Amino acid sequence: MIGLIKNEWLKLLNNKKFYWFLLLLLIIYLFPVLMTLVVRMNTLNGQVYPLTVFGVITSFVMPLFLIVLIAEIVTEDYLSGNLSHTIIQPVTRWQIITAKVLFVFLLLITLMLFCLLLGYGIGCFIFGWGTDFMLRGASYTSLTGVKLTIISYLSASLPLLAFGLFVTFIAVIVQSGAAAVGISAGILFFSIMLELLTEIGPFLINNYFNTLPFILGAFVNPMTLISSIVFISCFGLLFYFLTLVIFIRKDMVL
Amino acid sequence: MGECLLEISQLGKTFGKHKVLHNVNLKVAKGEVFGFLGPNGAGKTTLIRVVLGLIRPDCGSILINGFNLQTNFRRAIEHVGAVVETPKFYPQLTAYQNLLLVKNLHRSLHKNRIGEVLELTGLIARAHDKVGTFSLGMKQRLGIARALLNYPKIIFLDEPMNGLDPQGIIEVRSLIHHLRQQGITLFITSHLLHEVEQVCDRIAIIKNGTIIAQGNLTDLLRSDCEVVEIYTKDILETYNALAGVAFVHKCTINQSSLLVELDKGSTEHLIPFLVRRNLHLQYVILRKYSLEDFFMQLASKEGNL
Ligand SMILES: Nc1ncnc2c1ncn2[C@@H]1O[C@H](COP(=O)(O)OP(=O)(O)OP(=O)(O)O)[C@@H](O)[C@H]1O
Ligand SMILES: [Mg+2]
Repeated sequence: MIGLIKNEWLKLLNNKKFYWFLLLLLIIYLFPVLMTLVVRMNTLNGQVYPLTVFGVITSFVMPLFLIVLIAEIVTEDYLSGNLSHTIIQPVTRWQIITAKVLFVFLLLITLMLFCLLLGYGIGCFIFGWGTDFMLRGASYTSLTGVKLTIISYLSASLPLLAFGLFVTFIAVIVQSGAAAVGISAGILFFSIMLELLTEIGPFLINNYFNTLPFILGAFVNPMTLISSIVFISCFGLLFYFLTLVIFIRKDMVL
Repeated sequence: MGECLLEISQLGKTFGKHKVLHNVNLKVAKGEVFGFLGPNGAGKTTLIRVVLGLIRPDCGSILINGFNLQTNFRRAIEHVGAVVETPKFYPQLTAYQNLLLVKNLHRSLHKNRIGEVLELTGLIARAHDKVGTFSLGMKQRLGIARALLNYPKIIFLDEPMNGLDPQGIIEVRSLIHHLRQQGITLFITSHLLHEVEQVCDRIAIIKNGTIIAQGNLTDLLRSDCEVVEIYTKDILETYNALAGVAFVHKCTINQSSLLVELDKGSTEHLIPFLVRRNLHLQYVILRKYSLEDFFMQLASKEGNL
């Protein structure tokens, strides 16, 4: 299993697209700086800076990245015939899928940490650390601010992983990488629209990507946080098991 | 037959309504080179995929090295190497990295082994080049290198000569000889009958998913007749002259020659017979009764049924 996860890293780190993605993240994190130049607002400082792009990163950038990544490591891996070669090694099929899932999880945590560093780095470099941590009109101590930021960033990998499991399920049933990307992205945008227009938000996984409101909400009512965790876990596990059932029975003809 | 390394019994597989494998029974002994022959679409690749656990059979059982593939997959597959169709690699990774991916999945393997197999297949100089830059022949050899990585007891090669130029074919063939000398059992599929004839001890022939012949190569090729090709300017006269001759079984006119099937050893009578009749002979060539002829014969028999 460790060997399988190592292999995924080896492939990722030799993939040029990954470095383009890191560059894209850098550009996104520079965006608020550009905004302040345009609208001349000066409420930003280094401590709040990471949270300014957090919503965009977790609700759009990361889910889309996951879709492209999983289409590549699952669907394209199969279509290129390479997955078959993994299967004829002494590893079982459930280990192969589980290793891919664990790899996605590790990668998500790494990327969220990378984003966190980018946020603090750029924020402090441009604006300095600043004196207070203002968030949604409320003021917190610097220490609470740092805690809130780190917890939000790291906890976002859980709902994203659950979404990744859903994408994995799509990726094992479709016949092309483009279809995996198209269908998953289509469903993502559809549920973003649903979330905006209807009341069924709590039943949509994308509702949970931006973890900040849930972390803040937990100060008021811890129960909502627990019910969120239950929903995310059930969603993820459902698609994990569906993926396993399909993948274990699948005939590898490529 | 000695110790049995691969045993397939009553294997069947259908894709939709299409029966691709039907009641396949095969035994491959330790150390032999087994040829699996059949025309395009006969089910050769499908059989290899089933044996490697890539495709689930509808029925039947597969034992590799004594382990049941369905119930003890990891033990069964542990010492198996395979190149299925044209070997696939990650083009953005180097040859070495592509092999590292396999090494990482075998706990007992050491990194040095990668260098060893690259050396053996003559790719050591290109070890750190991206596979995307490799020629087909090099990929085929890298495929064999990868199949050798885990000290396999049996290697499956699916059409190993496919698409190779004569030089590549010679290289792969000598590699096969080398492996056989190491005592590695080989299972080779092909429709290049003449290649199989050169390297295999035993063969099976599959057609439309059913095995139509199986056995020792020399036994299968043993025959009580021989075929000669006669080149002459007097094709028709020669043809007529041979019509009533007792030791001639069959005579067919080719474009510029005659193909004569006759009793074994009777060619020495045939030549004086024709010379006596003042027929002008240019060449008389003994055609080795090849697997190809055998295969055609079987195929046509099957077709007539
Ligand atoms: N995934 C699939 N779905 C449906 N039919 C398939 C599938 N794969 C193979 N077949 C059919 O199974 C039969 C056997 O195919 P297979 O690839 O095993 O033949 P083969 O003997 O390897 O041929 P070739 O010499 O061309 O490689 C063919 O008729 C093919 O159409
Ligand atoms: Mg084939």
